[in-house]
Amino acid sequence: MFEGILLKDLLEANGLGDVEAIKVTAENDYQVMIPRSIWQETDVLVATRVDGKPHSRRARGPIQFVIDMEGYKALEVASEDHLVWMVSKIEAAN
Amino acid sequence: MAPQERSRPTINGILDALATRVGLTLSLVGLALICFLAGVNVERSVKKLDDYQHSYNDRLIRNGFVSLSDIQRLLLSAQEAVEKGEFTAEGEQAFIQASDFLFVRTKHFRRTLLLGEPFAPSEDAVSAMEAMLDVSERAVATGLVNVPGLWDELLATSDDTRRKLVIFLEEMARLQNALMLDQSRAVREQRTVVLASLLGLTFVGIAALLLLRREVLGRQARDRAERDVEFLAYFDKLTELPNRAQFQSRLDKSLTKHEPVALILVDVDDFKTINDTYGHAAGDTVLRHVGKLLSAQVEASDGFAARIGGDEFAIVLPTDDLDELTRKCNRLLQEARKGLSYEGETFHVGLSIGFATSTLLGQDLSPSVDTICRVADFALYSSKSNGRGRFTQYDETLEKRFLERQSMVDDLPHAIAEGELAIYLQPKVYLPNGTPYGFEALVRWKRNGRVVPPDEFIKVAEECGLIYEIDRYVLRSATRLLAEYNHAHQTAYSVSVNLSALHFNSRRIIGWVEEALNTSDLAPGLITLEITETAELRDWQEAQSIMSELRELGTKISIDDFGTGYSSLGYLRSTVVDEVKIDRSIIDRIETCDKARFLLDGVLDMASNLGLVVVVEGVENSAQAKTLDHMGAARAQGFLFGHPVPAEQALGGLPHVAGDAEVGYDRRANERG
Repeated sequence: MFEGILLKDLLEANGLGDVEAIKVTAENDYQVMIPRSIWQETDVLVATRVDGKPHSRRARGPIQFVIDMEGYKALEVASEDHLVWMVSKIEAAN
Repeated sequence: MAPQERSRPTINGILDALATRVGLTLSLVGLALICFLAGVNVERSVKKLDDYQHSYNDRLIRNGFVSLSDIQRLLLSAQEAVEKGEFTAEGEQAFIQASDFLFVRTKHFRRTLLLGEPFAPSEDAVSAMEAMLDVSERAVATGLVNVPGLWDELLATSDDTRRKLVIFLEEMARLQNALMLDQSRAVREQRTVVLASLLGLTFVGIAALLLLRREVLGRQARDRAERDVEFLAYFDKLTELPNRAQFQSRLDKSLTKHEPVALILVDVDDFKTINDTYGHAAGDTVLRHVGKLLSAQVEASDGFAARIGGDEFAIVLPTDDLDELTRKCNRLLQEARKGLSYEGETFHVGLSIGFATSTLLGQDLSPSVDTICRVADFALYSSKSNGRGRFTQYDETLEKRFLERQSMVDDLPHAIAEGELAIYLQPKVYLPNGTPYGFEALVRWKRNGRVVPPDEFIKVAEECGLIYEIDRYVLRSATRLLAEYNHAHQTAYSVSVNLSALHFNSRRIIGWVEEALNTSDLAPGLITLEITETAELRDWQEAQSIMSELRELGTKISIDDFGTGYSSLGYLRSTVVDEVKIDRSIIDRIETCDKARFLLDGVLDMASNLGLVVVVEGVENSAQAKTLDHMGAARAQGFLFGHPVPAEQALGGLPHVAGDAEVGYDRRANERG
């Protein structure tokens, strides 16, 4: 069971509530653009813990973007690329 | 035949075939089939592309690149330790992190392998990565103490892994290439299918539009034809006036309303002459002109003008105002007299008009279409008899005559059938002694105890067509009477029978004369057929041909009433005439008028030269007979020698030795000098 904060809330809390897209970078330098529609239309969880414990790197932690299966399937624009693991940086895309 | 003319029936044939139930069903099925096949093709291409897409996506080419990067990261962190101789704390963390990256990547790679189709290059690459991961994990587990040993092992396994990853990536590139090729091929196929479908649908569309157009044009043509037919059924095409059918139905409607109705009948005088002289186009122009004149008279009234026959027109007006009708008739005559110009010629159009109103009809006549037409026609006829170019109003006097005539027409057939017609004979004699050589047969009608003279009913009989039966009856009776008499008394009296000019429009008369000759057994030379030239003798050529056939039967042809009316000297030249009968009007003036004497003398002279027999009619006194004899006339007829009397009476007092000398010899032929 993943635990964490909703991407929407995280962005709002950091003053990025109005951005059209964000750029997410992983520890291995993987980068992906996530459009606003994704976190608006479904819940994107920025998971930091699994079953009450810190999210280990070998389990794709410590920060991983998670979308529950139903929401993922319902959203056409969502792809596996958006489920970033080992997230190291979230910034507004320009 | 031009190609276009040939292709039109072909197109029509195809369209006709399409319009049938089977044709329509087949074309709908065809259309559905085209759409279905196009759909199937598109679906199949999409599915094929999807398959490729999946098989490509399943293998996640990214796994290959990221794996290479992860391997590189691990090697770099190990190399740093090799250079320093040992792992620093930082270096250790970096190595563990790199090892974690490789772990997650390898696990992910392996999982995609399990989900997708078996793919050997992936399998090999993942197995190599697992071997390398095994090396790093074992090193981490033992505290990363043996740096050189780790380095050696890492180098060996990474080399193998990188080689296998390159193979995997190349395979993926090949797959990608194949995918691209298939995509473009699929697009090309789609293009062909779409083009073919569009072409097919275009043809179908064109065919549908053609069919629609043809249908619309056909409907328009049908509408037009129906309008034309309606027009033809109720209008005269030439004058565009209502025709007889519409005239009758509208007149009938007006009459049944029991309101006053006036009928004006108009005939164009001498229309036949215009037609014969100037041609039918001129005749048509005159008819159109008259149509316009009539239309002008009914403008702004509830009445109408109609063309009811060749040169017969009618005006129907809802009035019985005789003054107004008279004014209209006068205006019509005036307007017509102005004439019209046609190709430089000016035609003076004469009209004969007769009119009647429903209120002018006496009690004996019911106001039906037939009746009012007949009485108006009677008035029109009166206009014609009185010299044409005038109008006549139907009135009591006319009605009396009309009714008389009507009853004659009604009674005549009965009279013929019941033998009420009697044969009277008037002697034809030689001058100067007055010896009879033959007779003129005349018909009388014993009607209701009165003997009706021919001038009262022959004209009526001619109008209603009964003249044929009357003339045939007289011919048969007169020849029989004379044949019987001649046979009984060994005489050779001749007989003259009057034939209406109407006979000479048909060859039927030849058969009837033959029939009379056969049944009576009278010598053909003793029969003279007397013809009066009238307007009815229209076709002189045809008449001449009939006369010459009658002469071939042996009968003689005589021109009656010569010197009056239509008779002309031209007949004297005719080869089909044997005799001329000089009209009584000439003999009436013979003692007082030099001209009459000169005329008679000239005719006698000419006739003698041409070998014609001359009979002078209307000799009433011996002075006339003497003058005639002196002038050289050999034969005569008249009250001086005998009135027309019933046949038995006429034949009763004959000398039993006489007869027509021409059968034997003409004893007077040499008497004229």
